[in-house]
Amino acid sequence: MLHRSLFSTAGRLGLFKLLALLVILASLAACAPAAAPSSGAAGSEPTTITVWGWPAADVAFESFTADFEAKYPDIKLDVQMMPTADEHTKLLAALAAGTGAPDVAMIEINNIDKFVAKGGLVNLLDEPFNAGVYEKDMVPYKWAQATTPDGRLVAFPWDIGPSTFFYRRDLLEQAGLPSDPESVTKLMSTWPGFIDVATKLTDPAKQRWAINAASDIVYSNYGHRNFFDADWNCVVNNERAVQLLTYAQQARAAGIDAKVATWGPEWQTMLGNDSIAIQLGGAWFGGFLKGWLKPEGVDWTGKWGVVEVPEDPGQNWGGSFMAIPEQSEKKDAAWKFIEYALANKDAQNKMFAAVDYFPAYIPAFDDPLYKEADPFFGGQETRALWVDIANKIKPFITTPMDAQAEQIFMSWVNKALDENLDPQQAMNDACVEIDQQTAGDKAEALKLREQSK
Amino acid sequence: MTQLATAVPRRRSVSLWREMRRNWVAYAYIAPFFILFAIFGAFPILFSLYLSFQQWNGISPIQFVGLENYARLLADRLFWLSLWNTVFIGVIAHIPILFGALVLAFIVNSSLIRWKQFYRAAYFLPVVTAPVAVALVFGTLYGVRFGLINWVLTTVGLPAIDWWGGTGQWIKPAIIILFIWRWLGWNMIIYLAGIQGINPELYEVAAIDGASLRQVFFHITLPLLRPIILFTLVLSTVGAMTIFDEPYMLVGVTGGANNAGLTTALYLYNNAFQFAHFGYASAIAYVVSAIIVLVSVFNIRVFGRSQTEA
Amino acid sequence: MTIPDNSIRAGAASTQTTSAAPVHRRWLPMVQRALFNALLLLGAFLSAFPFYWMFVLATQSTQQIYSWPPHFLPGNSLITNYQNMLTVIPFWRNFFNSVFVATTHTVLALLFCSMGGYAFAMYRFPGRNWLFAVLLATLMIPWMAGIVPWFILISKWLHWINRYEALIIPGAASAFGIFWMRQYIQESIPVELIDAARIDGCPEYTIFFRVVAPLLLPAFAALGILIFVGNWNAFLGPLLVIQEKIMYTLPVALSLLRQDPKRGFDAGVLMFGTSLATLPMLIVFLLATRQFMAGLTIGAIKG
Repeated sequence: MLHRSLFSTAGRLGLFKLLALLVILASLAACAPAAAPSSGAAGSEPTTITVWGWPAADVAFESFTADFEAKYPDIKLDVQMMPTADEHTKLLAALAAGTGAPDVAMIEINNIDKFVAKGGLVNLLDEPFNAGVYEKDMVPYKWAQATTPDGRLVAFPWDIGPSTFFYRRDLLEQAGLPSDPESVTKLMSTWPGFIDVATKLTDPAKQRWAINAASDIVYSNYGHRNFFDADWNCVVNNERAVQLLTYAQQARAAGIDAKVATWGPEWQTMLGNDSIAIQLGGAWFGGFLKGWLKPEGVDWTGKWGVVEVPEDPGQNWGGSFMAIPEQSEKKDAAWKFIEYALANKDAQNKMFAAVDYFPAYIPAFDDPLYKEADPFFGGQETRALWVDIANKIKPFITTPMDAQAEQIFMSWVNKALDENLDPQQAMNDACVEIDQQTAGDKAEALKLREQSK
Repeated sequence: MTQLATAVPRRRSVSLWREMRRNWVAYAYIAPFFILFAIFGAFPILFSLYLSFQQWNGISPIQFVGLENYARLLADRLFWLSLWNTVFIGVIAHIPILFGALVLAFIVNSSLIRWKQFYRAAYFLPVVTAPVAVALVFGTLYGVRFGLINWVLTTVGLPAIDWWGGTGQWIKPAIIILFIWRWLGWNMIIYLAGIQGINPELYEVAAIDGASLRQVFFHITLPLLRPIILFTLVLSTVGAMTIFDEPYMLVGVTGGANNAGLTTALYLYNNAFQFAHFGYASAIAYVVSAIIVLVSVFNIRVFGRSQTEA
Repeated sequence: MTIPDNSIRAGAASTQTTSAAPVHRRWLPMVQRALFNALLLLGAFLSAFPFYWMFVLATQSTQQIYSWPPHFLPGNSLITNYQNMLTVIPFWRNFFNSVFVATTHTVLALLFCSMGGYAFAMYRFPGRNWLFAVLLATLMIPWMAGIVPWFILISKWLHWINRYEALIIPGAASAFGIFWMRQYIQESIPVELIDAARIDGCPEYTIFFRVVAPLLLPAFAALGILIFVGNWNAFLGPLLVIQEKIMYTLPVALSLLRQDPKRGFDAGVLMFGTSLATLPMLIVFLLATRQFMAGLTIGAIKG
């Protein structure tokens, strides 16, 4: 047999030599594809900064890279995309180890807490970044989210997600409903009205549901915020949340949701083959619809419309930040990139035009772009709508415990939906668990807050 | 080679050193292994034990908190839930795995079956595939709306299963089925190897005595397989208590609806990489390890009696 | 009534013996045989079906995969999936990475574990039992427990980020491997052989390489496959230590396909990549089954 002869040969050569050979090979191969050459010195030598993110950030960056390189010819970008969860795992590990982190890291709103309270990221208020000059230009709650309890700004806001319901005009028409945004807004101005429309849209025989998950009704008001009050007590058992949960239960009872979680594989397909008629999302969802969500060979132009969230339209879902890890050796270049991309009307609007990431940079709103009708959305002035919603967003409270609180909260929401629990009781139980699980982080953060006073 | 040098009290250290020098070759042989092991195996584990008494989020300084992590664990609903889930999945999955593997090995080995090679290969296939790949494929099979299994069910008139929703009552079965699919073959092969190592004379004696197939199985095969069964039991215990890939791929970090699929390893991962509670995660790891040790010791005591069958 | 006939040589087909049973009971074996065969075939079908399904899905587009009723026959998106996959990841480079890393790692691990196992099996040296107990203890501790210190070790202290060493060297000291080897050597290498080699004047430190190692072939095959497969399929470790796409091993590269900038979750492409990544495992296993079974036979008997 082949391996017999191989092994007897090895026996003759001596396994020592074989091993030595392999070790040499390994080190040679390891030397060959070295990491990207990096010359950290300032000046005329080009510097390459590593930027970590997830799709569709690369498309967003492409919209302004040419201009950036024209302004800063010494700075080259090495953009690495990976799935969102993986990027945060790697970032956390790299920060913990003190090495391996990129020069610029995208951080999602769901994950900002663990980085805010922990450190490892540069305080952008310090010299030479002086991000403080931009505070007045950024949407306040985004700024607050990236600020630690002791007053450091560890990440720079990129975009916000004024949330809206994206609906399929053609599917509404098929159900005999008006499909223009004004009429739909009127029909869905209250949650009962929303459920009413949803019931008319749903037809399981045709594999069609109004929304993907009834829990979205609750999530619309509680995406990464308002789990706690100003004193950091859990408040998800308040009247509003219980009311929303009740509506969600009604929606579930009426059978209007497909019970498919957002971002799952089946969800993506169902959106693509007309099984879901209305989808909650931030402004960035528009970019996804135009990009990777659109099935191949299908033309969605004019088929979608956008309306506010019922009853309390000032809602936000999602948004990201960019941060500079302290271990980066190219902080200057990194900051130049961040400043250019995010604190700059031009770049922000280019990205917005490309992927619908709604800037957190207020001066950007003052642009004819925002008054344009979007042909993809049937000529609707979606951008103006999002500006309007963004302005309606009331100040809300975010804490370093939000990520964990949200996980527990949504877990209880779904449990209440699936088992038809009493809403108030369910939310009370949720608060108990949230308090218990976040006690450690809360104590830590409170300590920080106290120290800085 | 003589036995280990029995120490003479007064000159113990001298004879010990001499013994070590006499066996220098042995040390040379184990050196490469143990150097690597010390660095990459022992150090992380020991550091993690140290971490379990600290509070650390990876970035801020490490803070000593004594037994606080363990105390928190005791009061942590999610931890006990994950423990229950893990034990439930482990036990329920291993009953068919171990019994099924035994029976299948016995059958495959019997003279009634040809194509032994084929069966061996077919049953072992699942073991060589990446857990990620397996979970992906099963994910499509388990699809609620488009899954193959639901299609089969509805075709024969049964209701489709809501695998992931509801109270999460189908999540554990989904994981268990996946786990069985993956590990039945592995255990079967090992038992088959063991059965083939049994002295055929024993069977001939049994034939002369007129023993039935069942009697042969229970009175000859099983007892002689005891050490192997123990071996698979110990491996299975570790595998069951540390199950991670399957639930992670199927239901994600939170364990799905009602945390039904949250295993201790998943909870550990969650605490480490979602919430950066590294000290707490280490504490979880050590509690799990303690359980594994206890269960293994129990298994060894119960199943490990040396056999003296003729 | 027939009695199971065991042959000691693994891999040999067993011979059939029929006892002198009364004529009217001869149908029993046939029924039994049919039953057994049916059962085994069912099991084999269930075992193998997901593979078939994976390969079928690899030829379909995402739309076809998520459709009702499901499409059972292969689709015609094989080429498309392949092309789409290549736009996201440098698949063949990742493939090479996996092959290189897994092979080198396996050879290294086999070498160290067999050397160590030999020492534990054949020598009685001070600290032997103590060291072995430590090894066994570590088998009981979940790997993930030490992942952060492990990562700090590799990144901060060894500076092995994005290098092959990080994937090859750490796991080579496998407690399971050395345990296995010790068992195998204890069972299958007679002490007399060693003594004979000594008498023949073979230096102590070469006995292993000249005399023992060539006899360990089945063990190498069995353990080798397990180690190879384990390394080939590793995900979390490589995810953390490798930075660039061209240095990714297959599992990490394939995970990028879950969130494709152009297509989101493209199931067809993902299945295609996964199938390609699984094929080498299947082939290696099918070719080496005989050795593998032989290795398992002896290695597992007195576990």
